[in-house]
Amino acid sequence: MSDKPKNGNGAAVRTRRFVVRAAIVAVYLALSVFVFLNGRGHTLLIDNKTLPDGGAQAFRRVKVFIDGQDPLEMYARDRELVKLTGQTHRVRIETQEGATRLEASFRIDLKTDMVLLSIPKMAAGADDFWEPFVVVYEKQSRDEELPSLDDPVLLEPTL
Amino acid sequence: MRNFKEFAADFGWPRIIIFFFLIALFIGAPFVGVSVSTSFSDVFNRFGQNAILVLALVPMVQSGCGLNFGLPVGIIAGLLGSTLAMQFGLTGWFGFFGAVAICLPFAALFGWLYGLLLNKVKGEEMTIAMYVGFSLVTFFSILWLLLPYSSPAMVWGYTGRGLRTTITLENFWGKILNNFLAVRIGQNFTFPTGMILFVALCAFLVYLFFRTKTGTAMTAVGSNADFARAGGVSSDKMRTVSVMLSTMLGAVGILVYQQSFGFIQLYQAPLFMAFPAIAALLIGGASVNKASMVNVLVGTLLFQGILTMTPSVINSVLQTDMSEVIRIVLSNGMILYALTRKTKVSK
Amino acid sequence: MTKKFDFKRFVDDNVVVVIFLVLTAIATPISGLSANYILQDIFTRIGRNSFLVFSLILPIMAGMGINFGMVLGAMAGQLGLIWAVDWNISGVWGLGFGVLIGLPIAIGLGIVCGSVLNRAKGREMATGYILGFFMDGVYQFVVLYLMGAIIPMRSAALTLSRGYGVRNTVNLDSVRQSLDKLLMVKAFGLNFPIATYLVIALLCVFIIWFRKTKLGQDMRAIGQDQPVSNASGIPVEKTRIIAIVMSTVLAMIGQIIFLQNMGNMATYNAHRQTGFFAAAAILVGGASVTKATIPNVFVGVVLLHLMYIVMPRAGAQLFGSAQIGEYFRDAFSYGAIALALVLHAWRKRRGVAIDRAGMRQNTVDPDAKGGVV
Repeated sequence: MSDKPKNGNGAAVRTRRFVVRAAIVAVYLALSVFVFLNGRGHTLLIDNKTLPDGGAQAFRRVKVFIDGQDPLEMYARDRELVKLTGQTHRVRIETQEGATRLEASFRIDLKTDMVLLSIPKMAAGADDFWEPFVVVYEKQSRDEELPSLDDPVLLEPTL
Repeated sequence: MRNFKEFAADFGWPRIIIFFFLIALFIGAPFVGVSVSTSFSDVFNRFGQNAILVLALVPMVQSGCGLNFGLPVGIIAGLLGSTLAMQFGLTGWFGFFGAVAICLPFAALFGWLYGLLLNKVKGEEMTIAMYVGFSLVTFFSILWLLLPYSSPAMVWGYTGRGLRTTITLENFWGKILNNFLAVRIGQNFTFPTGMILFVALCAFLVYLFFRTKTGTAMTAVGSNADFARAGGVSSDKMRTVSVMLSTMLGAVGILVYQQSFGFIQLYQAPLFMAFPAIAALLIGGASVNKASMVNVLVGTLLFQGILTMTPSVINSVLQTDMSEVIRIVLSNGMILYALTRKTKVSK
Repeated sequence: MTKKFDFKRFVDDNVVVVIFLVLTAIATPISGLSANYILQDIFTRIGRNSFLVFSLILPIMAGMGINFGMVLGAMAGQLGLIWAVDWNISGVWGLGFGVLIGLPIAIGLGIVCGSVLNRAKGREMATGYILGFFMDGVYQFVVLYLMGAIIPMRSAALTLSRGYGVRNTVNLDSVRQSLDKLLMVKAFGLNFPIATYLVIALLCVFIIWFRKTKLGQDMRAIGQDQPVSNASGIPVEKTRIIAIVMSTVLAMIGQIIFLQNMGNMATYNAHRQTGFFAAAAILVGGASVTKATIPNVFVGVVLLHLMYIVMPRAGAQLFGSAQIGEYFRDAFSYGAIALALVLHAWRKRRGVAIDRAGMRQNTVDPDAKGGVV
């Protein structure tokens, strides 16, 4: 098709084709960014522990709501793990023990894989109630074999 | 200069690149601490080990059946030969030539049936050959388990039946050709005279065959079937003969391979053995419809040279094992090149 | 439909299907597996495999035979998933991200594959097969040497401990069965992955629609008669490339659907068998090299996978060795491909021979009916 310029309007066709292609590329990129931002998973660790400096006490019993998920029941010194997708999240607590703040939202950086959230600190009203949590990945020795020639289901020429 | 260009276009740039690549590997070897004498020894060894399998492809290419992706059909016949020879307790020279004698009738029979089939599917031989080979190999995997083999050297120890995946030839005829008149020079260099002589003999016989009346008729069928028919040559018959010959050579080829390698490999092992052989033939300058003895010998030497040299040299240079990738890309790239080349009618 | 059902003719036209039917009919009771177990496995496998098999339809329509080059698409899908896992894009989003990343790669590979096949007219299948091997080498080079070295990788869990290259197995936990579980319906004691089925249904609708478009018509015309199409102004080479590109893209999506169901990815092996399984399935389903329909895909997937489920157990019951059953099913799958190819080539030659003899009354080629959906 591309090698059939039609009587004189070749330039117009070419511009239109360029516009269409540019639009497709733009839509593709936008879609990729959208999927990336929404699907980016983060691991959330939720702590219900008394802070080392004694700034906030752990709750004996607290219900934690993350976004629209089912509530987590936490007791003192509990740590829970929640997988989240997307960056902005809301956390809400229900407790009979009294708290300055019952609800907060936070925004996880795109590059951060894991975040540690302290419920007592949040309830006390501090703004730095969450922090990135870095796991040092242990080098594993298992599963370290390189692809070998002796694979019985090998579907490629061997010698 | 012009001559060189013509030569290059005719011979194909990939082959020239591969040739110079191999030379570069040999030149570079001493500088990275790879022993040249060991390398040469390995190259000759692997050359002899594989040459007959490559040679087995020639008859079918010449008769116009294309690249024999169904080489495993012959290999299976060879496996039958060697396992039966072991079962009968043949050892040494009796073992090897016994295996040859046993495998040939099987190969002739398989080749005949395989040839009849290929005659019915002219024009689509290659894909069908590939799958015929695959299904025969898997079918024989069942037979290796079920056939009443009983020699303790071959069957699984704990059940007493079913052949092992690899069977050592150490006490039978392992390296018997390699060691015949072998020349040792220095520590690391051994020239497998017996095996090379055997390869030369086979190549010479095939060469002679193509000088006979049947042989020339076969070539005629391959280059122009209509013309051959006008000359009173039955194209189907010639093709069948070529397939039988190819299958028989494949059977002998795997026997030579086994005695040098030292083991019989059963079950899935033969599945892809056609591919490196085809790559070698094509690197030697053959095309989908024309192949000669020179193509076989040069191609096997080049291909096996590359396979021997790349792991040692490239690994010492890059500190990583890239040879696998190079092997896959090189051998399949070569087949791809030959398949996509516009085939010339003349020449 | 007043024509009398001709049993002999039916068997003659569908030998491969009939052989498989008989085989599985014998092996199923021997295996002793419960109907519930078998049905559940079949329903899972329909969701897992059909999409991949569908990717073969368009090239068949365009007269290019079985596109063994579809493994290129599978590789593209795997690359997409590796990135999705590396960036921890989870759930269905991760699958979508994998598809988006795989898309340009699949299109690029499809163009390469199509162009190569255009240079090898008449032996597309063998060439596509070898191209798959060749690209496997390139894929290994990229994934084992470039990823983590030149192409940045984030996750240490994914990288080999030497610092570059992807591990042998990629854990797809973050996207595991996310499509299947999106809408899992329980009925009759079985689980149906409805969301996956919907995606497949969508693809069927697309294929039915596509056959009626100008491009689809062109493809079918090329499949019927290339010189005539060329003479009537259809850009043959370009249309063939488009057929392969679409096939590659579909295979890419298919591989992602396949892998999300498996939940694990053998980085260097997962794609190697896709071509074989897809080809076996469509041929077992009664397709030929020139004609494939949507029912062929489903019949093939069900029959082939029924055999894959029951054969090892039947082998174990009959011979005391599951291994024998496994070899049996491999032998029959390879044999089915070989037989289907042989029968087709044979019929074509017979047609040509009749044609040559001038005895041909009917101009309709039995193998080129164009396929009724």
